[in-house]
Amino acid sequence: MVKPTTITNRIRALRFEHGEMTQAELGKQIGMTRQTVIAIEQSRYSPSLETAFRIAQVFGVPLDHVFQYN
Amino acid sequence: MGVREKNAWAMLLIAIAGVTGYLTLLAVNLDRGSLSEVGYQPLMLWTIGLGITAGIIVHITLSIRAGLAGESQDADERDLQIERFGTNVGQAFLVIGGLAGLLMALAEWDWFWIANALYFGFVLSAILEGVAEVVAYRRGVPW
Repeated sequence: MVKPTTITNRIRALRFEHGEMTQAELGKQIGMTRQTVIAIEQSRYSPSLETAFRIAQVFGVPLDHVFQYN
Repeated sequence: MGVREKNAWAMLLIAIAGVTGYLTLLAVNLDRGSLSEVGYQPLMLWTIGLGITAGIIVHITLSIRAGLAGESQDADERDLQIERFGTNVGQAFLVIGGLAGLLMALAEWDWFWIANALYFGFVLSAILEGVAEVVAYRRGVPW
């Protein structure tokens, strides 16, 4: 049986490290709504690989600095 | 709450209000014994018509309000995924309703039952789709 996995992220911390970027600002930069950014932050939604890369690109960090696979 | 989620809530509530209204009118007319005079057809058609009209008005109102608030109205990947999930869940009842109507027609049942089976197929599909979307917006898509 496959063990359940979770994807955690550091988006909230990264936003604050980047001039307290708002969820709406991040959403605009990655082409998502503020609600989707909230859902990603709270791990209620796993974004597509493309969106994940876009988020990492906004913060200028590698993908695994944003998302962790447990 | 985003405009798409508000729309999902609105469609769900309209579907519930529609079927409740229809069943209430049907029960009142049955009770009075006037259903054979009035017929179920106008009740059903009015309920469907009002539901569609309410849906269009609510959709336009929510879009205008979102536009004025500067909110994005475009669906992003999560919205599309939730929409797909809702459609998949609702589809089952659409098929059940259609199949029930088909079987009733083949068995030469009264038109009242055939029309109602199809109507409830549509309504239950809309309600289930709405519930699935609202839950997915709140808790995430279960995959």
